[in-house]
Amino acid sequence: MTEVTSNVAGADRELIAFRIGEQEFCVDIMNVREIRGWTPATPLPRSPSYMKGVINLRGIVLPIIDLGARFGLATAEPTARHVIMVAHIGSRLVGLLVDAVSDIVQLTDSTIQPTPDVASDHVKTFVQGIFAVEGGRMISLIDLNHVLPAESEAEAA
Amino acid sequence: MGMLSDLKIERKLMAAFAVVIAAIAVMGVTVFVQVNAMETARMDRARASAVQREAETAQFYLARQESSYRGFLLSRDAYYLERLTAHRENFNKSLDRIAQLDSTSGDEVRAARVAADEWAKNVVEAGRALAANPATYAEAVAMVGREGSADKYISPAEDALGSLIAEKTEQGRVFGDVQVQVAKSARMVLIAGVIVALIIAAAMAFLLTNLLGKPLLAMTSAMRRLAGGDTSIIVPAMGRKDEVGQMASAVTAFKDAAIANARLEADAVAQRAAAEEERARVEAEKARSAEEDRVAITALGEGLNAMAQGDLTHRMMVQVAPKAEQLKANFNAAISQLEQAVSVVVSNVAAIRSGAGEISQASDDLSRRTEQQAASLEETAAALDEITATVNKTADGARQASGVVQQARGDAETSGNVVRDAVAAMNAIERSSTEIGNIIGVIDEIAFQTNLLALNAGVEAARAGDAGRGFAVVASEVRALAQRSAEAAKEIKTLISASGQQVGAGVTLVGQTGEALQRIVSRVAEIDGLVSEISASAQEQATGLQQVNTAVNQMDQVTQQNAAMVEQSTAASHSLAQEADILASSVARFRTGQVAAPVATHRSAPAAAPARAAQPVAQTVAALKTVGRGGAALKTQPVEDGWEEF
Repeated sequence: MTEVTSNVAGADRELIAFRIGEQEFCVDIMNVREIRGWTPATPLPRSPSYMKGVINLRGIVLPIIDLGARFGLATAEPTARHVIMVAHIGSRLVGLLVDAVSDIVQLTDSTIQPTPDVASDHVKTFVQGIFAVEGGRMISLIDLNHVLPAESEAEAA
Repeated sequence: MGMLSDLKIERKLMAAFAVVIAAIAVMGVTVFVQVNAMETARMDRARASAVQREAETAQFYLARQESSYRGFLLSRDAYYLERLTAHRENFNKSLDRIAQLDSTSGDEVRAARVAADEWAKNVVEAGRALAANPATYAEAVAMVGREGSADKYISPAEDALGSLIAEKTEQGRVFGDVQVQVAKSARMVLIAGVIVALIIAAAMAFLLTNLLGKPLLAMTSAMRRLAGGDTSIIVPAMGRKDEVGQMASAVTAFKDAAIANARLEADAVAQRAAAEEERARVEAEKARSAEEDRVAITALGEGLNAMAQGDLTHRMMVQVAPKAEQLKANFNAAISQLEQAVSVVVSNVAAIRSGAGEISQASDDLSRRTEQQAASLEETAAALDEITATVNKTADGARQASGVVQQARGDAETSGNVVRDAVAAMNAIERSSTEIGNIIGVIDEIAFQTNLLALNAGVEAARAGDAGRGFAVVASEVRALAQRSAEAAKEIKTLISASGQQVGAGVTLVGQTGEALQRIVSRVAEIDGLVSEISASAQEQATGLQQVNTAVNQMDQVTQQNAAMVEQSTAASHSLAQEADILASSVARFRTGQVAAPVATHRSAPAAAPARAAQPVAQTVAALKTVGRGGAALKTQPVEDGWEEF
């Protein structure tokens, strides 16, 4: 928290950090609408494997995407301790299932480092850059606009 | 007369006395008959007078009855009636007695009784009835008056009694005359009898004098002359067959014997001369044989003297008369037999001496060992007493141990209960821990939700831009608190789970402890049983030891008695040895051909005696041991060694 306050002075942007497995990721706080605990989702027929289904959020049908599955990481059955981040992707509201929300961090863009070029384009489409913060932690900045596939985005549009 | 003289004297005397006795008997019988007749007459007279007296008494009581009735009529007093009744009873009694005494006077008695009854009925009973009434009183008096009927009733009784009295008076007189007559005739018979008897006795006396006295006087004078040596006498009364005749034949035999005796005396004088001559011859012969006897007796005396001196080698060697040859041979045989016997005795005495010495030595050994045995037995008894005491102590200790083990068992069982309680308490702790865990879960949930709320607040604050900056700070603070409480809850959860595991471990351990205690309880029970068995065994040992002790004490006593007996036998064997010595010295006085040498050596070398005495002892011991091995007591050798060690 001292880290947060220390970062307040030269703050450019605020980010919400979260964990999937042992990895930490973050998204821009402005994209996040709400954070809530896991509630069982109603699966949709013939949906992709990272689509966990839909939930009823105060009268709105909200699709839930398992972000770990989407990233191709090892996933587990969600428990009550898993967290859903309700975020704006484009004009739509989407629920992102993560293991835990760890922090709200404030970082300047200068500390962001570009994704190494060795990776494929697929990696670059998800990860905009990597923050290397104190304590050896590394937090990947997710580009939410690429979380949903383009065709589905087109379908949705 | 000739026939009379041939009768024996006793027959003569019997005939004479028989005649006298017959006369006296005839006289006695006659007198007896007369006296009997006299007695009969007297008794008849006495009975007649008794009947007469009773009749007079009856008459008297009849008169008394009449007078009593008159007294009653005069005084009308019942007393006179009583008197009348009494007199009437006496009257009837008199009549009864008359009837009893004399059966011939039954008619008179019956008449008197009937008349008296009639009188009593018709006069007395009727008169009393009339007299009871003053009106008829005069009638009753008139009944006994001059013209009355009373006299008519009573006169038959008076007449009957009067005639009876008169009859009996007459009878008494007649019987008296008879008595006098009989007495007179008896007197006559007595006088005549006595005279006849005297005459017969005198005649018999004369006859006996003639038959016996004179021949006996003649025989006496003849016998006196024969005693005076006159053999020419003529014996009287020869040929008579009575005792006098026998006496005469006896005197004749005496006379013949006297004549033969004179002839024999002459023969005896001649024989005496011949005997004198024979005696002189025999004396000469006797002197010769006496000389021969002297020689034989002297030789025999020498032999016996040598025998008395103990020399049994002596023999009679002199020449003796043929009649003493047998004596000489017998003497020599006797002394040689005696010599053989004494020599055997001497050799046997030596054997007895050595045997007695051996027995004495063996008895000494036996005595010593018996004493050792007695001492050992006493020690054994003492040791057994100590062992018994120890065993008793062991038994007591075992009993105490049993008690202690029982207590330990009880304690162990109590500990098992404690363990069960502990397990229950631990389970309770575990349940509490679970509940605490649940509560912690709730707290964790609350912290999670708080964290989410704070994050949402942070998101809202960030959206608010600068306006939400202060709120963002608050939100981050809340989020920090929520994280801390979540961490604290996590820590508590960890601790609680650790505590639960430890409690589980504790439960397991306590359970194991309980099982261990259960095993201890069973082991203690086994120990209890074993200790009880030990106690019982110790008790049995004590009892057995007591019996062994008793047996050992009895053995001790028996051994003491054995020791005493062995002492006695030792003393006896010693005295036996002494007696054997004395016997040996007694026998040594005799000199015999064979054994002279051993006795002499024994006497000449007394110093060698101890050595000889020692040797038999050793032999004896060896012999005893041999016997011991051969007999039933096969273990004698080791036991003996044991005693020696004691």
